[in-house]
Amino acid sequence: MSEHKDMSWNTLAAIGMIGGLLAIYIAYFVNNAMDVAYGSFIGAIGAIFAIVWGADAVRQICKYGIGTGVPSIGMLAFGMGLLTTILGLKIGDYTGIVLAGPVLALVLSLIQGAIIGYIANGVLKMKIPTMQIGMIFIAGSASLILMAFSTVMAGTFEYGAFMTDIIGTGFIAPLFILGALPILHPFNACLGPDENQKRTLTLAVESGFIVTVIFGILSIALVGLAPAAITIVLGLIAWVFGYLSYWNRVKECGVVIKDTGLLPARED
Amino acid sequence: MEELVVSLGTLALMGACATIAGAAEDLESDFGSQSNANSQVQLAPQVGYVHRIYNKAICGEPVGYGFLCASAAAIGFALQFAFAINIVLALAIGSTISAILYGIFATTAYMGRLTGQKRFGQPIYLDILLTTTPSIIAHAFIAAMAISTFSYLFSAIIGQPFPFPILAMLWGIMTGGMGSAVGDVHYGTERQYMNKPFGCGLAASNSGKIIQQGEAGIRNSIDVAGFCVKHGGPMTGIGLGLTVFLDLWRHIIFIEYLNGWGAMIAGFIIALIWLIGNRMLELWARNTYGPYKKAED
Repeated sequence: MSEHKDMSWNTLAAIGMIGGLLAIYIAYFVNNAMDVAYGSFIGAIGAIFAIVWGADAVRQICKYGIGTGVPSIGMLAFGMGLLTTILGLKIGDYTGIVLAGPVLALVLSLIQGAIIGYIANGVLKMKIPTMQIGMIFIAGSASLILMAFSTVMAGTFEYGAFMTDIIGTGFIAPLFILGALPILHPFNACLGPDENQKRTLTLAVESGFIVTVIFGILSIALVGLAPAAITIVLGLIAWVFGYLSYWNRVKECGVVIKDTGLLPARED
Repeated sequence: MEELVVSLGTLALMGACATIAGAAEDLESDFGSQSNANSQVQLAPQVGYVHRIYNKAICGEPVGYGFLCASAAAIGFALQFAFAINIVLALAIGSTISAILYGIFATTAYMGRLTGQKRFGQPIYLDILLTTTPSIIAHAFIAAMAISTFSYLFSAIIGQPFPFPILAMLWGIMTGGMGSAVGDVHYGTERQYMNKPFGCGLAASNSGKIIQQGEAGIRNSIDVAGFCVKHGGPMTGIGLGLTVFLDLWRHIIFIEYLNGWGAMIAGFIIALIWLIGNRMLELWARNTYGPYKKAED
């Protein structure tokens, strides 16, 4: 099968962490250095890195047959990630070192994931081999996704802006649930004996782009029309490519695609 | 007094919105077999029953409706905030965008689920994809519009302190949960299992043996929704409408008594009446329609 050419989840974790943090910081620096919000869309690129990482972690955990638990894993990830992200950003704000916020948030999320993974495997005795590392990974990716999309919406990851612009307006609701969707939907949609990593992660990227468009629309209220338009237009263009490449993956995997028709005759 | 009348009037309107939302939600999930029957629709090709039914596994219904309603309300809020347009128009635009988003997720789920089990020979039918997805989007739009409208009323007129996108998410999750639990008459009267005896549950030997043929031609998701529109949809609508109406009604009327505890006691009494009524209905149905087999050890 496809196992031999799968990318290892440690590689994806490294790419997700470095890419995610880098994009968040670049967006922050562009916005702060020029005192504009045009760099906000760069945050979405970080979100895509984190989404690919998170979607693969969900895939690895749920491959052990947690069929109906896939959406729950995504929600759990965001529950863990949200708390520690707020804590990390708050510490950054409190100590006056704002730039340390995202790194702290990520580190705290990884620790939180490790604790909850231990409880799941060690105390509740779920005995899923990938659970421990998987929990660490999904908590970390959820934290990065939250910060990246809040950068897209509010133009910054500062604690004050997060509280007033994201939580105060109620945008935390779509951020929580739409942010979780790109990591839980790909494996939930593609599961089965013929699932393969490339197709699942292509779907993760596609979902990430369409969700970016929605956050772009929401950012109209926070950063103004022009920066939001950049996110929306770039997001839409990228989504079209994402959707087409997912469609190509579906076609090339060898499933029968018919325009219409009756049921195929049974062979037995 | 006038305040009370306004509150009760708003409440009636919210109840109506919830009823419409519930009905639309149930039918929408039937179009994509996102509810109970989903596991069976997924399983059917594996036991040799290839079909022409849509398989929309975006995520569980509660999460699916959480994201649909939260994004509809949030987009409406953002548009109203940024351009000061009328809230009704803003919510309509928000609901349209989020319903289309939902439709996009539905198509990727359909393709993904069938490619994930391609060895069982279930083809992807493009006509199913192209005819059912617009129905899904249309019903999702109705549900999203109704839930976001009623969340707005809840926040703006009843005075709930949360921002209304959060209320929309919570009520969306509740709508999804209710549609998943109430509307699914699948395991009894739904067409997929009509030839199974009442109360048999779904024995492992019957799993995946869904009905492939319709009255004319091959059964598809639109037939399933067409069947459920008679009982399942209205039932979910009544369920959600009653929940919203009774819950807020007891809150508004009885909050003045016993230092606020009046509302709590009224809620407890309502829940108790419901519990007893449901148990009596269940026993009556079991005795009347049997045969219910005793559990064998």
